[in-house]
Amino acid sequence: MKGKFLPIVAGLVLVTLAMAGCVSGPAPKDYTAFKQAAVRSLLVVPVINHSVDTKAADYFLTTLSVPLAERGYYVFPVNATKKLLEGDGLADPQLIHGTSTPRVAGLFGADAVLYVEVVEWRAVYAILSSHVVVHFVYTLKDGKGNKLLWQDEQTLNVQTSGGGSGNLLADAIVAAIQSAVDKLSGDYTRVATMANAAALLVDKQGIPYGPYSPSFSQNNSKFPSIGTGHVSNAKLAAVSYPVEGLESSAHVAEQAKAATPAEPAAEAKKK
Amino acid sequence: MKKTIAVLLVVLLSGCAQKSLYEWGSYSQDLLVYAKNPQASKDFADKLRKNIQRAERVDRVPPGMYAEMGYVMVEVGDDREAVMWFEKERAKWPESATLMSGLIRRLSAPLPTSTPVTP
Repeated sequence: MKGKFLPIVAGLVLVTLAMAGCVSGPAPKDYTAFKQAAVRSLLVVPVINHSVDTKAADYFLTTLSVPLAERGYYVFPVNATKKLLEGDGLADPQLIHGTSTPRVAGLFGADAVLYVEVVEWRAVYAILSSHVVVHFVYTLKDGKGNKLLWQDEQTLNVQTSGGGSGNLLADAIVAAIQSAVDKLSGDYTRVATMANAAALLVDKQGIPYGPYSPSFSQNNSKFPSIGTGHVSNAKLAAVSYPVEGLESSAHVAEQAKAATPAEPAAEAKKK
Repeated sequence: MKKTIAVLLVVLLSGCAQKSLYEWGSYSQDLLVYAKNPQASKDFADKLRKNIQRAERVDRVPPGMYAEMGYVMVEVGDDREAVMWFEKERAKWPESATLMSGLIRRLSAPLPTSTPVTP
């Protein structure tokens, strides 16, 4: 008897879910675990940087406080966090991400810990335009239970500055020179800010509003507990949450580097 | 590029284009400058002080700002002022209590060496 009805029921459930909001784009995430964890405070730990661009990690760390606090969470001070972890023998981001979350969260009294990894950050210079390819993964884990609460992987292609003078050759030279100059710091900040917005602020994909947000009550509709257990869109395994069967972030990063045509920046790889 | 525009549109449509909760001033940039030049504690402290004043004027001091100020005071050696800032953070943000109390305790405890205790 069950055999006849079950496929019909399953079909109806799938249709309902489809209509409920995952019309286009990735499957909506389930916020059951997130809400159960009753997160009021977030600890942002130093960022792992797999890319050849040595500046990328700093930019992420310093641009994360604002959107997370504005989202309505208490965010621990990132500079003090970094220094205190160093004092506790946790200076290397790889080590921090690999340490049990309750151990790290316990040092600060944090409800949850946010781990960010820059998998790729690569500037591409072309005659007419320059852009930056970025690939990153954000992982949020429960400070008490070591559970994965939420995870987001994004790949973005961001157009960078350089409206140009109209003279193609001059612009090409300027673009080439700019690559070595810190003038790009505005671009770094812009890319990091965009990346944060893409990861954090999208309904049914990002993180819910925190307790200090006037929009907190919108969580029921915008970040529902749909019960699917789907909390991550990541296709790779983060250092802070290794998953069997998925390629590690380090491996994905290495493959990306190997696929990139040799540039002068390749020398920077030798850390 | 399309994806970026789409994301920004979603961000705006999802009602995130609202007044910000806090007054940040140049906090993010200052953090970045300090991260790149860790010896410049005094500069960072001065900038933080300005940001705090600005935020206090409108009563919108962000989480962590007082605590960051306190920590810089530890780095420049002013334990007493550090404790003052940590107490301010703890008073404003209950979520910071574990960390702030721990730091205040550490700064107030007698040192195991022969160095005189800060009164």
